[in-house]
Parts: sequence; structure tokens; C-alpha cells
Amino acid sequence: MNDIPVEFSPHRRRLMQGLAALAGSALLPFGAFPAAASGDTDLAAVSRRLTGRDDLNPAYLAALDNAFRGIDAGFADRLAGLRAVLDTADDAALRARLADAEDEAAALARDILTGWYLGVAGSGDDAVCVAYADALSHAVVADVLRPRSYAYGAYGSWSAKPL
Amino acid sequence: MKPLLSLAALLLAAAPALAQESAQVARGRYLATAADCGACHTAPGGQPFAGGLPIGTPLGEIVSTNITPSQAHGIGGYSLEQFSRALREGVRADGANLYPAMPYPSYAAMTDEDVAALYAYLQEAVDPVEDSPPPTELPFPFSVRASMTGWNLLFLDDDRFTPDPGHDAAWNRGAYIARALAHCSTCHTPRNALMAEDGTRALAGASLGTWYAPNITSDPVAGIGGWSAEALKRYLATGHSGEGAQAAGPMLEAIDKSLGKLTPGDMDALVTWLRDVPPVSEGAAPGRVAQAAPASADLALMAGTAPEGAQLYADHCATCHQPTGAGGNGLPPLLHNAALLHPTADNAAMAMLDGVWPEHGQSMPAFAGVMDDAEIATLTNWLFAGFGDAGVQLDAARVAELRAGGAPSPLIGLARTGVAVAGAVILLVLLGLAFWLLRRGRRRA
Amino acid sequence: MADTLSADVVVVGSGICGSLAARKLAREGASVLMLEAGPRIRRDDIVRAFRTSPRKGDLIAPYPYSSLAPHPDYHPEDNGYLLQQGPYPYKPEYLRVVGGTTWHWAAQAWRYLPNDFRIRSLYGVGRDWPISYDDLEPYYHEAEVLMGVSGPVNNGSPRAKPFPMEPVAPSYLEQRLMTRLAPEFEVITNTTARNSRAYDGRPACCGNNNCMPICPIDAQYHGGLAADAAEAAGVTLIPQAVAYKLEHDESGRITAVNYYDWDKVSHRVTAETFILAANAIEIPRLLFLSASDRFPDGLANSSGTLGRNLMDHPSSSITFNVDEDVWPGRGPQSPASIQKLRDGDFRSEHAPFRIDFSNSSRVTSITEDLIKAGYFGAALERELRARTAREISVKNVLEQLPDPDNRVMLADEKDALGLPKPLFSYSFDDYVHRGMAASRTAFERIAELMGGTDIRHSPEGKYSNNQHITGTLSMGADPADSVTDAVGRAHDHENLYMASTGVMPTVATCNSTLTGVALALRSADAILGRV
Repeated sequence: MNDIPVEFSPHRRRLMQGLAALAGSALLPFGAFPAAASGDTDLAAVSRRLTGRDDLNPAYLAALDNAFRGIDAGFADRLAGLRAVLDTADDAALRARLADAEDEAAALARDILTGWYLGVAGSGDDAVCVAYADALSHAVVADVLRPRSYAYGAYGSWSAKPL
Repeated sequence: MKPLLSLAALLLAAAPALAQESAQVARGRYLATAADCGACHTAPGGQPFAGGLPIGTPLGEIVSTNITPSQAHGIGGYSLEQFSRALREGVRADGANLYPAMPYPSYAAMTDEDVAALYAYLQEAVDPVEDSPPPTELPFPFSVRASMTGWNLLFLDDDRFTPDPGHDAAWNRGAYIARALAHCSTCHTPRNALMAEDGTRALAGASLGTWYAPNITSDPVAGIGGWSAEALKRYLATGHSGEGAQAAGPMLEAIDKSLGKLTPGDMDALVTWLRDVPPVSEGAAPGRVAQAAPASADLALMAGTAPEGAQLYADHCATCHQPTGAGGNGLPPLLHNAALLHPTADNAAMAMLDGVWPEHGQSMPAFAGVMDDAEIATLTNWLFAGFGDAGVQLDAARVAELRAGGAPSPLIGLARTGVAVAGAVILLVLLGLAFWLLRRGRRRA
Repeated sequence: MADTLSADVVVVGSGICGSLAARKLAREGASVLMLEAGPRIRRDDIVRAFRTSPRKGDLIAPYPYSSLAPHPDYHPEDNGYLLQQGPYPYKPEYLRVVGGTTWHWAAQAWRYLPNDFRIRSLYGVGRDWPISYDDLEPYYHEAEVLMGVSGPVNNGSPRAKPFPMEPVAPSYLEQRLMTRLAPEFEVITNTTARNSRAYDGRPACCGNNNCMPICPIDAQYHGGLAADAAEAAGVTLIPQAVAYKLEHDESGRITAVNYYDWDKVSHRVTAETFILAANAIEIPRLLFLSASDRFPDGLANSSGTLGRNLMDHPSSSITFNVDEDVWPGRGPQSPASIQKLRDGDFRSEHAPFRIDFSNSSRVTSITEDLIKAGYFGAALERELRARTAREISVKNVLEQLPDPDNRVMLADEKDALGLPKPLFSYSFDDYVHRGMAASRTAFERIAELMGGTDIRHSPEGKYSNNQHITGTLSMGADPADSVTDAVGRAHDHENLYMASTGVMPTVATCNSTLTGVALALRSADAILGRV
């Protein structure tokens, strides 16, 4: 992580966004940071890129941010580093990097994805459940499946062809 | 060949027995279902029509009687005339009065032909049960059955049903089913201080002490004027309207045991009539209806910061009704659910206490043993505020009453102290009759 | 002594076997006292704990844990309660709470096959039971009525009376398996203690797909309900009471049981009859702990077989993608099985097994897999949806033969109350490995018939177990090679009974609960002088 600056000023962030915009949509099909608003946080930007969603629930985002900070005092710094990585990687490169078990930035990205898709921040004894029913993995299949423990339907409703 | 032969012999022997069920008996069987005789006259797990079901009334428990053709214990010794009098006038063969838990004021409208068919069915097709359930023991003065003579004088309208020439045959058939057989008014029409139906507010809704029988007049707000005919038919046939209403409690039992078994023609007729019941606007909820379901509480639930109502909902309701209250795949959605739009929260709380147990289809478990009165009140109020009419609330004391089977009727105190004129009238009539009965009894002895 | 309690019968352990035996005795007028090491729990608390747990896949996580009545827990790390001597680790999960381990189970409530009771006579392997299927048949039915069991009639176990309800409606996945695997494999609906209609004040299943770790609506039977039923019948239940020593008189009759409450205050309970109904690990532990001058190797151990012949169901599995959308996760978790390899002459050569299809939602595990593989954004969601619709898992439930070297003992290491922890010696023989090979062949054929792609076998030689802990208290006709007699009574102690799957001499190919309950009900009849 030595190559990632500890400080990551707002000024520099704006500069990066400008560069990303110049890079064009062919290189970054999702746009690196779509819908970036003033006061946008690193976690919001990183989350939008990683989920491909620009309608993320702000309360969920705040809960995740809170949980990650509680688990890891260096979270903010590592997040800024990850943001820089996302800025410069296109989807194919990012996919390859995120599969690297040893890469620290990738590990943080996977943690954030786990936070959004499974509602869990952190791992082992530090793990915190931030969301359950609202976790995005459930949203992806909501037309067919319910989060476990929630009823599929009245008795026998599961016999019908799902779709 | 031998087994075949004996099988054939068996079939031959059985054939006449089967064929013996005349058209009249078959009609009686259908009428017994339509009039829901078995609902009260059969105890849970008991023999059909052998009685023994304790029926909670505001005056105390009334135990249904044996109406099988047993000579000693049932109505085997009744002539058609005696049966007819019991059914339509509330007087037993021995001259004693029935309590109007038996809906004889409704059955009074039944035609002679239907009474004869019902009589034929009960005498010929029902197995006699040689046993009597325990007797009904009401508090004084209602323990004296003759008290009902005065009541009948005041309130029993024993006119037979006569078709209204201003309406078509279907409407009139529906009116007959509703009045004479299904006895809708027994529960849905408010009663006066002496427990008689108040005809000026027919079907405008009434509390049964615990469950609330809502307004089923054609009023679009207070009643069912906003329901489609199809929704009403589905509701009466299955207990689910498909449009946000589902039956529970005694109505579910009436659907399971009786209304759900009406012929399609009779169901159509009943719905035709029901949708034409004159509107009565009383019994409307305040109208502070939630516009949208509450926002997801998932994050607060995980953090342990959800309000108590939301936490109780998550622990006990969301499992089936879903975190959003949307239900689905046959489970009822909660937003604007009929149970949360009534003018009282009693039914919602009763459904939680007792559960909802249809004969067929998905049941809802009971939570009486899981939540205390305060929790049920909190949860009920949260449900009304979030999904129904925020103007309707209840407190833990009311839940305690519901749990105990309802508040006792003020009528008991009224009649005992004799402060009310009506109570005094009853007492006078009753005392006179009691004296007369006593003398008659002595003469017999 | 103010601290001595007394009853006609003391039951140690409030799980499904102990509670239903206690209930039966109490209903016949006995005063019954039931001790439970763990605490009382409430269903809604466990449901809440599951939903808020960061480890949704850990069946133990939602349940309360106390070092005073520890249970094994392997997540995030092994808590070190069960110690291993090898060569193969034995790592069962169980709960120490009122109601016991069936708080989480798939509710599979199979009867044994008649031949399972005499595999030594028929196939020359394992051992015969001292009783036959017919001896147990009425008790199977008694258990099925109490537990609300349903299943198909053609499940291989003949029955004198019908199930109390219809089999549970098949999921779409199950229907596709039935259609596509026929006629080569007959797939049948599982026999389960799961409501297909309202039964005994409990609703029909709503397909919450959470049988493990907790059915949120009590649509499936569990030991908590059994404990409730026992208390309703008049049984006195003392939770947080950790039995640690039995006492006996000169004749060997058991006279008292001593327990610690959670303040580590010792109490003593006397009774005429004692029933040990902790599980097949904790009962041998208690009997070892009760060693005396007269019984230096532990009570009920004159044969030297106490704690030996430990069996479970080792499982291997196959996971693959079906060539059509079948959407596991709708309906109960364990819906259907293949029967045909449960019995046959091959049992003289290799282990028989039942093939069990999982219908658990795979959303969580697939999401984890995809994130690990670097997926993100729209591609992650697309792939998650596609795989969730098609990925299925199939496992076997395979019979391990009794082996005296597979055993539970006492470790030197002690728990928080100062009681030695359980220690295991465990391994698998070639009978198991050959059965696994036969199973792999069947798995591959099943995958082929379902158009399977991306086929993944569980690691060769590494088997998961099924927490069907059996054999450590084996019943037998000969006191020289068994712990208990044909009614579950200790050969060495005339008033000591075991209500536990531990008395089962062989583990067969189906979940052990129903047989354990049937045996416990039969033991209760023996105590009542009816057997």
C-alpha cells in the first residue's frame, strides 16, 4: 500500500474526476463516478462504481461507513487509496484485480461489495451485520426468492413454475 | 367369483339406502349447511349435531343442545309442528324457551317447505347420539328460561319470508338466504340494550364482545359499497376477497362451514341482495388512512435502534407479511388491509391473540402465548398507524379484555338491579311466568 | 438437606427424546423432574438473532452460548470444546438449550428400513439390533403423531397406520428432479416433521427456507415444542442445571444425580428411575464422570463399550448448474431423496446411502463466490441471478459401521465448571470409502441427466457430518458387548435408562431423530411396565 497516498485532498479528487470524464465512456462504461454530488464521500463514489447502481440508499451507505470505520481505524485512508485504484482501472482490469486474493485494495473492494450485497461489514469476530432484507443480493432475485426466514408464500405456493 | 359376488351383493344392499335419500332430505341437508346448524350444534371433535359447544355470549356461556334424532337426548320425539315451533319461535317441545343464541328470530322467516325439508333431514339422515351435553347455566334472571317469553313478546317478529315484488327472483332468493338461513343480522346488526337486533340499523356492524362484525351495508365508506361483486363472492366462498380482506374468527367459521358451500346460484343471489342493502353510514373509521407502507426498518433493526412497534412487527409479522408488509404469493398484504380499516382494532388484536385457522389454506399462528397485552397493543397500534387508519388505536386494557373473552354485558347488572325500565318489565314478566310454571310443575308431580 | 430434590423419575436433558419420554411418563401420573444444562430460549429471539447475525451460514450462531454449558462452535474459529485425538477430526454441532439440537434441523423424520435392524445377519457387516422393525413400528407411529410427520407411503418403511397428514407440496425444483431423473432414479418427497396443514396449533409451512437454523413459524416440530408439551403434562423443568455425577448404592442402583446451577452451586436430586437424555456425547461423558470405586471405568461400562462405536453420517456432495432455471430456495430446505441405494445385497461390499437434494437458497453462497472471483457491478448481478436460478447441490447420507475405535472419551482439559471436555478418536474405514465411490458414480449420472455443467465434487476423502450422533450407548442382547438392553436400560444399573440416539447400534441411511424418539417412547413404556 506504499504507493497509495495517505492524504487524499478534495482538490485532487476533483482533478481525478475530471480526468475520468476525459477518459470517456468507452474506457469506463459505467463512468467512474456517476452522479457525483458536492459533499460526495469516498465510500459513496466507490460504492457506486462497485455496485453499478446510482440509487444507493444513503442511510445504508452511512451505516456501512460507520461500521467500517468502527472495525478499522485506517479505513478512510485505505478507502481513498481504493478510490484512486478505481479511478484508473477499466472494468476488465478491475475484474482481474478484484479476483486477486493478495491485493489489499481488492480486499477492501470485496469487503465493500460484501457490505452492499450481503449486508455484512468486516469478517471473523469483527463482522457486523448492517442490513439483511435490504442487502442488494436479495434485491437482485426479489421477483423469485425471499431472503431466508421470510416466507415464500402460502403453503404450496412454491410448487408453481417460478417465472 | 365369490368375492365379486359378495361385492355385488353389498352394492345391491347399499343401493336402496343411497337412493332412499329423497329430494326432500337432500334439500334439508343443503339447508342445514346454509343455515349452519352444525357450527353450533357440533362440539369440536364431537359427533355431528350432538351439541355440547359452549357459545360465549355477553350473558355467559350457552351450551348448544343435541339435535340428533335421539328420543331421549335429541329431537327424535319432535313432531314437525314441534320442530317448527322450536326453529321459528324458540320454544322447545316441552314448552320451555330457547335462548336467542339460537337464531330463531332469523329462522322465523323460513318457509314451511324448507322447515319440513330440514326436519326430514335431521330425522332421517342424521345418526342419533344417545348423550346430552351439560346444561346451560346462565346467571339469574336469565337462568329462568321463561324470561325469554317476555323478550319474544317484545322482539320476535315471526313473519315468514315473503318475496318483494319490486325485486327480481335472484334478489329475493338472496334476501331469503341472508335473512332466514345465513342469519347475517345475528352478528352484523347492532343490538339494543336488551340484546335484540336494532332493525333501524340493519347490518351496520356490531361487536360480539371480542370480534367485531363490521358494517356490511352498501355504504361505500362504512360498509362494503366499494367492493366489487366478484370480490364479495370470493370472500364469501373462500375467506379471501383478493382485494385486501380476509375472514377470521366467527366469519371464517361461517364461510368454512356454511357460506362456502352455497351453490353458485345461491351465492350470486346472496351477493346481489347484499350489495343492495340500504347504506348505513355509522361505523366508519376516522379516515386517517396511511398513504404508503412504512419505510424499511432493516437498518434500524440490525442496529437495534428500531422503535418497539417496528421491532415487534419484525419479530412476529414480517416473517410472513414481509418486511415491507407486501405479503405475496397468497399471503395477505397489510397496506389498507380491511382488518386495519375497521372502526375498532379489536379484530386485528383478536387475529393476533387467536390466530386465523381456516379449514383449508394457509393459517396464521396465534400469538397469545408469545406477546403480552402491552406488546399486542403496541404492535396493533403500529400496524394501524403504518398500514391502516391511524385514528384507530387500542390499549393494553382492551387487549386484556379481548384475551379474557370480552367484557361482560352491562345487561347483567342492569337486570339484576332492576334500575332500567326494560329490565323491570322483564323481571315482572319473568316472575309471573315462573310462578305459573312452578304451579304447573307441582300439579304434574 | 434442603438442597435435595426428589421425584419418581429424573430426566437429564430436555431435548426431543427426553422431553417426549418425560411427557409420556408424567401423563401416566409419575412425578417427573427434567434437568437441562442450557437456558430457556424463545423462537422469536432466535429468529431475530439469525437476521442480525453476520454469519448467516453458521447454524450455531443465533443460539445463546455459555461456557458453563458449552457446546461446540466452529465459527469463526473452533471454540475448542470438543478435543480431537485423530486420525480424523469428529466435529459435530449440537445445542445445549431447553429443547436441544432439533431447534435446528431439516425435520427429516424417516423410519429405518426393516433390513437396517439386521445387517449382520443379512449382509455380514455391522451388528444386529436386539429388536426388530416390528417391535418399533407402533412407537414410530406414536412419534409421528406427536411430531406431525408426513411423507410418501412408498418410502420403504411399512406402516400399520397412515401418516397424520399429506406429504409436503413439492417445489418446482423437486418436480423437475422427479421428472428428469425418472425412471433411472425414483425421487420421492422426504418424510418430514413439517406441517402440510395446520396441525396441533401450528401453521402449515410457508416456505421460509430457514429450517436450519430456525423455522420462524414452528411449521416444523422441534424439541422446544416437546419440552413445552412435557411441562404442560406436569413435568418440572429446571434449566441451567448441568448434571455432573450420578450416585449409586451397593447393588448398583442409581440413587441420585448431582448438578451445578450456573452459579456453580451443587444440587442433588433423588429418584426411583433415572433417564439420561443428553445426547450421545454428553451422556457417555456424564457416565465417565460418575466413575466410582465400584465402577472405576465409569457407570454402565462393564462391557468396556461405553462411548465406543460412535457413528454419524459422513457426507460427500456434488454441486452443478442445471441446464434450466429451477430456482432452489422456494419451499423447505430438504425436500426430496433417492431411496434405491439405501438397501440391497451391495451392503455386504460398500456402505449404503440415501441421496438427498438440497433446496436451500444459494443466494448468499453464490454472492460470496462471485465477489471472491472478482465480479462487481452489473456483471455481478447478472451472474448472481443466472447461477442462483440453476445451481443445485446434492449430497449423500451414508451408513458408517460401528467401530469400537471410533469413540468419545474424557480429555484432560476441563470446561469452565471444571468438568473434563469430550475427546474423540475417529476415522473412516474402506466400507465408507467404497460407498463414497459408488455415490460419486450416482452423483455424476444425476448431473448428466440434469444437463449439469460446472460440476464440482466435494473434496475426496473429506466428509462433512450430519450431527446424527449414534452408537455410544449401543443397545444389545449381550451385556458383554453393549451398554444398554433392548429397552434402553443400562445392563449394569436396573433403574437407569437412556433416551438418546446413542442407543442405536447402527446408523443406517436416514436421520436419527425419529428412531431416537420412538426408542425413547418405548423405553417409557418399559418403565411403565408395558414392554
